[in-house]
Amino acid sequence: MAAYILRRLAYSLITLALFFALIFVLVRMTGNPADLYLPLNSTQEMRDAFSARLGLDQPIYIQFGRFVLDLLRLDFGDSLVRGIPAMSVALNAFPRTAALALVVMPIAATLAIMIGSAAAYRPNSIAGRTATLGALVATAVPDFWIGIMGVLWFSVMLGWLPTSGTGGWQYWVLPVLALAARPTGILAQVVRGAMVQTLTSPYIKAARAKGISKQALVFRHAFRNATLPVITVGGEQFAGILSGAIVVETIFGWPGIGKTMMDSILQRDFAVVQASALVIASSIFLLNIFIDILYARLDPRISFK
Amino acid sequence: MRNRLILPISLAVFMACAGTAPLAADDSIVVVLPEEPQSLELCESGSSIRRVTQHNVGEPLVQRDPDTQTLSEGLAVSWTQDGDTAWQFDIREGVSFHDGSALDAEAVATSLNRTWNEDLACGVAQQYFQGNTYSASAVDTMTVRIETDTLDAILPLRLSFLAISAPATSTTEKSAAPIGTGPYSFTEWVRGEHITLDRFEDYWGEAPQVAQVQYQWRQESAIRAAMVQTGEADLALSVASQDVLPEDRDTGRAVSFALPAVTLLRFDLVDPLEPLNDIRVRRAVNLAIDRQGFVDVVFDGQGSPANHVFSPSTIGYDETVPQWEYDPEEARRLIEEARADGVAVDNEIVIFGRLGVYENATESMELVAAMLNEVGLNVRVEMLALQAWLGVLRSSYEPGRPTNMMQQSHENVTGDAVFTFNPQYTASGPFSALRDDFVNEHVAAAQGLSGEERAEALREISHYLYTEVIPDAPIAVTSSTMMLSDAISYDPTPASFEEIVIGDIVLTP
Repeated sequence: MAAYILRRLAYSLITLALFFALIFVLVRMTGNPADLYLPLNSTQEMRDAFSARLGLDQPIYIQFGRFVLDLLRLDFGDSLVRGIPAMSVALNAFPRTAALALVVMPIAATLAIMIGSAAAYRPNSIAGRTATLGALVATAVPDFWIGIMGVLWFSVMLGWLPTSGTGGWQYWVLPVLALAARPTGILAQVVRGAMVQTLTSPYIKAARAKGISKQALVFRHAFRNATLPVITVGGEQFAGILSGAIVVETIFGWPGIGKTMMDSILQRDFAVVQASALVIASSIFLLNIFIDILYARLDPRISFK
Repeated sequence: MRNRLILPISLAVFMACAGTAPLAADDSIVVVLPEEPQSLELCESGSSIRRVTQHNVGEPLVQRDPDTQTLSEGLAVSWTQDGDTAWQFDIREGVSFHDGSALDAEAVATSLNRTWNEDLACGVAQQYFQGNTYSASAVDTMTVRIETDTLDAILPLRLSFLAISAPATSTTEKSAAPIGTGPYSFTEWVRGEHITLDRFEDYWGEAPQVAQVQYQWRQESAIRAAMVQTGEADLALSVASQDVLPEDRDTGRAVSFALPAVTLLRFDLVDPLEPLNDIRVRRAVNLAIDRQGFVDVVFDGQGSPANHVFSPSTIGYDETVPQWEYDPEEARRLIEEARADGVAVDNEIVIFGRLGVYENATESMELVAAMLNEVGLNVRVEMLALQAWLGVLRSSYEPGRPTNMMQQSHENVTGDAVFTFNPQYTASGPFSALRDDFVNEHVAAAQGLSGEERAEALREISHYLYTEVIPDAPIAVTSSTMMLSDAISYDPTPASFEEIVIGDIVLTP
């Protein structure tokens, strides 16, 4: 397994390097930040001096070369807005988003398993159809709508929860609710599909013929096999939260990496965009390795070789 | 069993520890803004910055009443004009900066020269001190002399926008920890979360009631409104009309106030393209816009139709300029007349809008485009983030560009039209798409005038622009809505969009 992990890390580094090069070029295509940081009537000399100070007057390949050399010294540059190392900005924001994801995904997975199992157990019953419909609705409803409605109902009308910001557990409820809906819906459908497929397989039929109860078949035998796609899709959803919780973070004033990255893009703070992209991409690569290992642990048919 | 509990217990502890609780003291308030300031530099002019700093952390030499535009003592107790190119200001005694250093002539001169230093690129210098060269020096301990290249009759008015910073402030870099003389000193800025100011106990003036103010920011207007409705915040700025509940208006929690700002469509007249090169089409654009309908829909009735790009209370407003009537039939007739003369009225016109320039900015431009298409023009809207919008502003005269109009919200809090004419219509103005010798010459001449002579000169320019040139389509004098909790009392002024004077807030019992 150690060899497998090392091999995956090596492949990830190559992919990361290519990804980083792409990000480097893309952010610079958004334009010169001088428009934002200098007065509108600034002279061309002022704009040239600004560009020279940031190294933006050089050809892109020279900029990239300097950037790679800085990277080798673990220098990710300074934030144009804040004047502090860009990586510290990214690393300060990332745990807040990661914490959200770590709370959201277990909740989403648990609910999805319950809903998906109920839908698969008696698919044509009222409960089964309701569960299926609920999963579809949860997938379709935008997270920002859930967030705004949650604030209206639970904060303004009922006064049960704070509207936004960070603090104790109460501040987590609405952002988690908004973020958990879609993964719950998607995973519930995955669970339902996987279990329905498993329940029609020959070994299940054989077990049923031997007299094993339907409940035991569903929740002990079929369920275990249905968790495999849940892990894969769940990992995808987790990665989606890490990189895309920006709407929820914006609504709730959650200072996570999504909002930080969006603000940096709008402010043309290239160093922070690059550092944030690196942090998110690295975490997703590590997540994928973890998912692969977990998958192999659960499925004895899979080998690391 | 023990192993299964580790994760949920750890998460619970983590969640309980994460973040900071809001302020709890009775004499503290929370103000929620639409966006986090980019900096807290006292020489910057951006609204997001001045809302926090102006009159709270930093104070100017001259105070200006935002309702009447009258000037009064600030950090300067008196001032006199000395010849054509100099003014002298007597500095108030017994004032100290938040770091304990004394306010004197040397400190004031240093701060002024710092602001006017082109290398520092201060927004206040760009916005309020264009068209002249300024330098300050200490005549004696408490007297500052300011010299200019050419006559500046309104220098005291300009100085009312310039907050004085402490001598310890870097003269080569902008500051994120401002040091001024105001009733509040800067305490902390937790990026992404809040800014805290604390009452300065050695303030020279009347001590404010509020002991501490925490600024937070929420981009979503509904959330800002909800924070006040639930008591999490005491003041929310820039709340969209659709997020105000009926009971908010009935109880006075929601207060709308007129802004010294006009929303407009700027025409590109540097190298104009068809069909906007034809004045009949520009008149048609103005006639096709239902301004009152715009105000009713976009600003929920709070505002008024505009025919200048500044409010009627501004010196230079010409009452002889007729208000644009909503007359789509006449607009169609003018367009057809232009078409008959060979003007390519079917050419596409792009409205470059600016996202977030005011609440419902996107919807407002879609409404305007619909009105213009209704009378036979071919208009589409392209909404841009600020950076992209600025890029278009800079390149809007380049070959290959489409015929375009730019959505703007022009603000003039000074009460003097020269602060509109310079940036908006003179050849060197950063927002200008006009190259007109009459305008350039008359604006330059007006700068040296004062009193009724100045007012008459500015009115003449207004009349020329808005009846003979038609450089833009002014749409409406805008308003903004602020929400106030029951814990405070505050009367917004026309300047409140960018100056929230915490010292004017009264804590209700």
